[in-house]
Amino acid sequence: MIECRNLTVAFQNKTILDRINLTVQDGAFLCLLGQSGCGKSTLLRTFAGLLKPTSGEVFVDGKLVDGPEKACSVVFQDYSLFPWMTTGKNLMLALAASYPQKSKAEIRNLAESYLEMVGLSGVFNQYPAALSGGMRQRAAIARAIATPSKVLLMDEPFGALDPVNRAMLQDLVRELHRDSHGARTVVFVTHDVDEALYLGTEIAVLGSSPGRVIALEKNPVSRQLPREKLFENESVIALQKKIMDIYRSDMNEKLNLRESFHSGNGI
Amino acid sequence: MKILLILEFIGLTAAAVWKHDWFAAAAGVLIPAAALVRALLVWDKARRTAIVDVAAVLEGFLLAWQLVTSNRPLLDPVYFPALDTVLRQFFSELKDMAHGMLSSLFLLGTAYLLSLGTAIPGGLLVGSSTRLRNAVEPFSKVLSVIPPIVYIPYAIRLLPSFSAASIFVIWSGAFWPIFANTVAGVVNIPETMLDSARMLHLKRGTFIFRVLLPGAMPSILTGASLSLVFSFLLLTAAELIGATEGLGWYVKDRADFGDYARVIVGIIFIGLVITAISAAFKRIEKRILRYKEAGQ
Repeated sequence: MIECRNLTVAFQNKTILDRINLTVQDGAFLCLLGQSGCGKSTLLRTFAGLLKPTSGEVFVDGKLVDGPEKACSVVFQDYSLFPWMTTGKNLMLALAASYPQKSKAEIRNLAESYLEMVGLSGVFNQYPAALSGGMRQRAAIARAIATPSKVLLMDEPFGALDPVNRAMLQDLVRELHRDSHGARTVVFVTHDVDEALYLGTEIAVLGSSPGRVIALEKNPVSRQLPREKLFENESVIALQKKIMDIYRSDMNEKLNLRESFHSGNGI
Repeated sequence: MKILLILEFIGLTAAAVWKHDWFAAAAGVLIPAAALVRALLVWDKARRTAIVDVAAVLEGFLLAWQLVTSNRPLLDPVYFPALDTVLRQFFSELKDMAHGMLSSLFLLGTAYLLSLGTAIPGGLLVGSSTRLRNAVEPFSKVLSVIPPIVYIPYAIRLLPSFSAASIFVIWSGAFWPIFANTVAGVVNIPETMLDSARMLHLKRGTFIFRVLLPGAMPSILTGASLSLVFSFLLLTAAELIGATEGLGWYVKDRADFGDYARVIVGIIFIGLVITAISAAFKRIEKRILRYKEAGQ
């Protein structure tokens, strides 16, 4: 369970996140939805303990997050893997840190099996540069789930992928989450409403400047329907419309703000 | 270029044989022969052309040298010895020069390894702490621009031997480019990459050797190759001043005796040694950074 209380993050007097209160239940798949620059990545980083909040606190499993959190693993949009190590070595590095008592051969076998789990076999000895963007993200996901952490944090992981790879990886993440039977909690940052509807069991919409939660919706059918049926479902369509409306009004507000700002400074 | 090479070959060989300059004649024959054999072993057409072109330029240079210095010397033969003399000396001096090379390489190797061994750990440490970086930067800025040659009088005064003094001078020149590039290398590791390393909860040693060091490595190698060039420069400069052996000393010593044929021999030999070391360095660099080529 992730719990954040009155979480505020400010950089140089600019408030990025404003008193966020949010609870993510065990086994949930929460999509953090928002425009670019609204602070959703910042929020994810405070969950991970990579960023210290200016005020307020984050608890993971009831424990205060203070520094890189062991219960979390992260997948970024890029640079998740170290380019100077082969894909296999990248996994082995993470596994060896998580299971110091295991032998090198065991670690190697584990790494191979996790790569297989995400559909990557035969790339063990290849450098990340030799893999396609989609394969690299698969490997990054394999590394993230290979560690015993319960919470998987994903920061626009598929933002740089082509539509086909994107859809395939969405399926992969959905499957991995479903197969964990509630043992794994996922927080997934995206600006794509359809991606959030397809993946999330819950969707939090973040408003911008300063970032705050402007809507928190339960996804009624997320896990029962395949992709092609999802957007035929009435409740999903209704939710999509609702989120789009919230999204749009937030954007309008921001645009109006900027206009009044301009007119205020006019001659 | 092929035809030019053949013409030069005929010209040089004929001119050398005419004067009974057998070493020059041998060079005239061996260069095109070596180029021919090498070119035949290469399939790539562009590379084959390049080999012939290089041979043609070299052969042309030697031909010009032969013509200018032999028959009726256009230049003072004391400062511009005949091609044949220089080639002859080159082979007879090989043993002496090899001895000098060992002595030079000892100084160079010790000093260079010492600078790698101090600058890389220092750079990693300073690069990974903003506070330390801010504290050190003003000093490194000033110290790094001082030409190390100015330390020579002080080094000779304070250090027990010439070797120690020249090692110190080479070290002080080679240190800064490696240090500065190591710091820059660490600073330029993408923040996301460091974050993803932090989330792996690596042990400190693992973090330094598997993340920080390889992350900064491309930049470190840039600094190291720059330092290598500096080291050669400082090595020969130091040897010109107080050494009793070594390649730089060899050139200075022969010049003192007015033996310019051997001075040229020494210069050519130094050129060859440095080229060989630089080529070896490039190979090592390529090997270390091979992961970058994986995508191509």
